[in-house]
Amino acid sequence: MLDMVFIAAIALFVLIAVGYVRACERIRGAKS
Amino acid sequence: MTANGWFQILFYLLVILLLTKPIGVFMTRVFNREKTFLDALLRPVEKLVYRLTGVDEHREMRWTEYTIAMLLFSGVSMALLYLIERTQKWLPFNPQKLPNVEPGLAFGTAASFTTNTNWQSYVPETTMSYFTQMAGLAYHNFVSAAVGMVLAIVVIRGIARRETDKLGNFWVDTTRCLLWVLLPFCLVGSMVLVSQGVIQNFKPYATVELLEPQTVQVTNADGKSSTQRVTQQVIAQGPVASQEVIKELGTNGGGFFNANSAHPFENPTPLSNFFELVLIFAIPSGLTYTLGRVTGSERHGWAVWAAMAFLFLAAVTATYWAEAKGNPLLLGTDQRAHALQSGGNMEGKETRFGIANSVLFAAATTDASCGAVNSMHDSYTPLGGMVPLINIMLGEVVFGGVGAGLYGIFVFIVLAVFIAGLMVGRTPEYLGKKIESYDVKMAMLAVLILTFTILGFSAFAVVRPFGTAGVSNPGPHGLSQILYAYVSSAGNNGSAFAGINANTMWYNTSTGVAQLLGRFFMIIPIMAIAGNLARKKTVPESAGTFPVTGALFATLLVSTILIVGALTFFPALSLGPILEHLLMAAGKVF
Repeated sequence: MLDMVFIAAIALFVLIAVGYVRACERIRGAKS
Repeated sequence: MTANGWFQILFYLLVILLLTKPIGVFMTRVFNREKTFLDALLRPVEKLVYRLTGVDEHREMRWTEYTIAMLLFSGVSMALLYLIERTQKWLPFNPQKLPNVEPGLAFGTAASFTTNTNWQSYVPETTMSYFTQMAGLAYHNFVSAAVGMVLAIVVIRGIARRETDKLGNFWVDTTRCLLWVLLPFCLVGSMVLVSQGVIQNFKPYATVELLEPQTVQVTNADGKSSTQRVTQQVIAQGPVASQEVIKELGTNGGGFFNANSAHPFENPTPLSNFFELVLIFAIPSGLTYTLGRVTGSERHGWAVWAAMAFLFLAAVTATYWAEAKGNPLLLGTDQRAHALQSGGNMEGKETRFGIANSVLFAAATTDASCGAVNSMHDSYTPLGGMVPLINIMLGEVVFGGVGAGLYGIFVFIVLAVFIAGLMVGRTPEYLGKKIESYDVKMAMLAVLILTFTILGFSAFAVVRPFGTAGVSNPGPHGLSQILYAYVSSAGNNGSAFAGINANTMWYNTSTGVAQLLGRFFMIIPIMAIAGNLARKKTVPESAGTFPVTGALFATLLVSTILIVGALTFFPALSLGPILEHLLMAAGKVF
């Protein structure tokens, strides 16, 4: 059970980080 | 402090200075895909890798594509390491029949090695099988170092290129970094270490009879104590040299043994100690020259190197002074240095390395985001222990981790140039690129994520029972232990105030999250700046351009680093090591 939680946590972190990348790019796009 | 100690410290810095240009030139050629002496051997291997993986080596990526590729690669690698740890009992190369690693520890360790932190809250020789050490941990030592280096190269390209959104190909850069830089250096380096006595084998641990059997008092599971006669000792061994060399060259820091580079199988001689020290700074120092060469301003690269060297010498001097002075409460004890003893505070240090080589290692390992240790930082005097803490708090930009040091100091360069621009009332420029509000916002985002992670987790841990449970010393030293744990984690250093017991579910998971935030959430805004700079036109230098090549720039850069660090962390330091020092002067120790 804990294994599923930790693997899901890793996947979630990557997803959030990808969202962060998109957000940084969107801020730049909005500025220009 | 002794003349001999200072000679060794200055000789070390001289060797690093001499290596900077050749290593910097070599890395420039590797990442610019220019001819090198290894091409005949490695180019066919490289082509084969691309053919097998379907990578188009001529396709370049935007910063977003590059960063997402890096994130996916790191995420999959981290999950694989987690699975290896959780299944090591059934995997090969486990002669000690070690059980599977606990889930919390497996997560923390996977995060730790993926982020180049290598924080170890466990005893490696009794927790990790040879397979886990090699296929799991040593693999990450290589790839996490390569990831850091290629990101630094992207930042350099971002500064050097103009009017483009292409910054290279993550898969190509990583492959070339591994094949041309890390693997050859490590192959030669591991031979040097083996020549000094570092071991490399797959034998099960040896059990030997003690020459002087010991009688010890042990506490049983029911809480009752009993006396035991110890007549045997288990000597752990294994494939150490192959992991040792990348541990330092890749500024990883995770030891094969719990005692790390204080262990004679990891670091047996003064020469191996010096070699390991050189490995820690070799690539980060070389990258400053690569920065100058690729951007067309070698003097800028040297100015950055000078700023780093100044901060390094300041750190070594402060730690050396604090440790050589000794403990004022040991009244009547001879703590002077002379022919028969190192003098000063030798608790937690190896007599074969003495004060000078211990503080030099401590400064280098925390200036870089290495985390390998040859002495125990927890046993340093309060001010001596504060210096490694400050080194990490400043962002490990003094040479820094492989790649991480360069892209870390890039943030401070952006801020320094911005401050200079404000002073003269012009739009700041950096090597012909205008630094605008988006760049400064992203730079501040990178600085703030580190700050919030360190102070947020530390503050939470000191007020919760599961946070204070692992602390071995009360008072300000206990605060320093907790603070160091999160500073080291978020800074991706990995060294520890080892008095803390961090092998708990709380510390394994919270330090793991701190490591992930400190690595990837700092990288993303820096990559955004690189992507933004690459799109810009170059403006010609004018009389109002702030020069980034001389002593004035180096001074401003050092000041920016110190001011940002001091403003952010001084309150926490005043409650920890500074208070402990004042109380020690008043006769109270913890």
